[in-house]
Amino acid sequence: MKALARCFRQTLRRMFREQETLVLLFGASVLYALFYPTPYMRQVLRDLPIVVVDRDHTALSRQLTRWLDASEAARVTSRITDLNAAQDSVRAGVAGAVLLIPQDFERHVLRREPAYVEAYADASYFLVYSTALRAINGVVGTLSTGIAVRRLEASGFTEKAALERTRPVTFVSWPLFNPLAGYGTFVVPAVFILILQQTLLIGIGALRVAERREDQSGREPLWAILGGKLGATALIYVGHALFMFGVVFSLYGFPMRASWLDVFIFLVPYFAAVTLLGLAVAELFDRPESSTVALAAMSLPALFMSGLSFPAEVQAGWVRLLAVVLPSTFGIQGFLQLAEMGARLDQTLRPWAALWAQVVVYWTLAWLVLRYRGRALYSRQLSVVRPNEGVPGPKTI
Amino acid sequence: MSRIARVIVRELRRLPHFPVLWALLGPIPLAAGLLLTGVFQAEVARRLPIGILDFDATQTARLAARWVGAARTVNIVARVQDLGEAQALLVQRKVYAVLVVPRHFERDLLHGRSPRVTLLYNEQYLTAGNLISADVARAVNAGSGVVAFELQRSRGVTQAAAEAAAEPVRVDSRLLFNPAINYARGVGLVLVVGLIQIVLGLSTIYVVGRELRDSTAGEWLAAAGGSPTVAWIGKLAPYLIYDLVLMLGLVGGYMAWFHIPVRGSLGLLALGAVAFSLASRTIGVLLTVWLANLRKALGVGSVFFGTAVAFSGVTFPLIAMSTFAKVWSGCVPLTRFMLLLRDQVMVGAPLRISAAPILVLAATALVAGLVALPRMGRVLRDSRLWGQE
Repeated sequence: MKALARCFRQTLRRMFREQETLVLLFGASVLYALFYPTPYMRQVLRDLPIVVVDRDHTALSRQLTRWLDASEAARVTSRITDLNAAQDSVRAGVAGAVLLIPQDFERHVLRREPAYVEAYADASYFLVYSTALRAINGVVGTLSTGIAVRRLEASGFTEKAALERTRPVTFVSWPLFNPLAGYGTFVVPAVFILILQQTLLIGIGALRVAERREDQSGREPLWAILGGKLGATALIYVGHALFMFGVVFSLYGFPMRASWLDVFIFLVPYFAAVTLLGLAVAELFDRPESSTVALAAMSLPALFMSGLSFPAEVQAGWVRLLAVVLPSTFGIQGFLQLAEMGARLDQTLRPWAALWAQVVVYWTLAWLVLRYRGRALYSRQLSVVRPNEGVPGPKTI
Repeated sequence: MSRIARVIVRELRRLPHFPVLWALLGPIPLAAGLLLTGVFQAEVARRLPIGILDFDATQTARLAARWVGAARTVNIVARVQDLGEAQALLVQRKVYAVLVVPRHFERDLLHGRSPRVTLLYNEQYLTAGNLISADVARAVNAGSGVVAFELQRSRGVTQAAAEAAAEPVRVDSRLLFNPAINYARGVGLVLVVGLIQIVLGLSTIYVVGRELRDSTAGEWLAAAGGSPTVAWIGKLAPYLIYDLVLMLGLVGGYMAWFHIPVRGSLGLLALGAVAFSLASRTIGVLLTVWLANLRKALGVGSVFFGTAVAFSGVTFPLIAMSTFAKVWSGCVPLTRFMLLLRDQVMVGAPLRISAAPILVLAATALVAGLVALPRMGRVLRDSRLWGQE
């Protein structure tokens, strides 16, 4: 136990002493956490510019235009008659969609013939087309129902009966967990979990490079070295979690639905798995900054492998297999369940157990790697003493 | 051998000594690109798991379930007995949505009392949630329209009149530029290019920063015969050629794999790629010469280049961003290059629209270069800026 405490203190001391690890393990998460959510502060797309091509010029077409302009998601920027010009403004990215109200629109409605409007939405941006179509469908649907109800009322139905006849089945869709469809609420919690992983992996990489230079760890038992490191990173990263999910979440208004105790119970194996993975891969790096260079580019695939932005169910099988290697895959899944979807801790058993399995695997791996290092170091110290040189071992980058 | 050639040869001879740089230039973008290809292999999200909670359990209720089951986005994988079970499946993400058919659905429908079908869907997983709710809404409304139509027909009206009475005004909607809502095109492309920008930015910082940290900048200048202009051109020239090869290989390979056609001009895209490479590399140089510290420059660089996708306006549109984010995204080369890719790959926009992003990229390179300029000479000569850990 004393060895464990010594290793724990030693790791912390070194983290504070090395400027590199200090910045990576303490500063980077804070900076990212404050900076990353800034694009999403407004959460939803409002007042999307829409061009109305009105070829009808009647009271009804003007009413439809006014309603669309009044809807929260959209704003009518111009009313013209030239469809090509309107589509050009969508091509140029000036407008998100075109609503075409054809000639004789009102006449068709009054004569009880089927009437159509046409919507052209810019699907090169997914949030644009979905917002535009929701706004247009909503407004047209309201208009359509109103007309149908009035017709039935005219033939003697009560308003209620008329409504029921118009819509034989009422469809209600009920968004759960993120009711306003906020983009920040969707993406930021997952990215925060990923940031914790990436800064920890990079920081551990830098820390190990610094430790190998001074190589005095051979005296302590390996389990104590690993345990001391796990304790030190857990301590720091629990602090980061408090800052991110407490301070930053309330600063930017993201929901946090879990109790802190549950979050910590869930995150402990996450931090442990990441730390041990970091210790295993750190042997690849020969210089403190190498881990930054090697791991920065992997954040993007790691985020998408979590299945947040594109469903995991439709990703390639071999990607799903590789995703199992990353703590972020399960960390993101479980954290979203707990903190955003309000799951009970026992409902996150699967990702939690997967993280523990990773802990076991990566503990073994890190143990083997450190033992190999220690032996190589020992035999080298016996032969020649050249303290300022690298340590033999696997080829490093 | 000319002086520029000497600098280039020196640079190429240095490369094998930096394994992490090799990894960044070759295997890492290749692996990440392959992973993204695997992530988006289905291109469109289909058959996502949903559950059904049928309180009515009649023939008609099963009909409603069939309406929904026919929607392409969903696949009914579970039938649950109560709301608690539905909630459990939802929070464990075994299903993305649960369709609730109310008690007395059949009776109410036959009596014209408009029973309410509810879709509870997971909007935390916004992509899946939005696709499912839109598709299920379409399916239920279509089914409901058929019933309304039959009701009208049973009163003896003509088909056209029945149709008009059931739904007096309809929307005929068309999706421009990416009609199938293909995610490999709409989202995957920005990730591939964002990845390339990280490689460009960090490798610039690394190759310049190592010269300063290792105090080899003097040798570098000596190889250039004492001319800073020659030194910098010789340093960056091989990488600009590498960038074009990387973009052609990775972006071109990705687009070929997913059969993404180019609707616009390949020439404009090539011109944009050169401007994008220049802008990204110049920003890398700017960070390195001003910070004159490899590790600090890599740290700042990974924040700048690593978060660029979020600011690029592809996944979350620019018009919805805060002023700060808009200004920041204006400084990120990726934003303009993605605009160019959208215009030339998906839209097929004319030159007058696409000239702007290319010019802005060139201007970004120019401004960053001008800001870096006073230090670009100094870091080569001033040994006080070397060797910082």
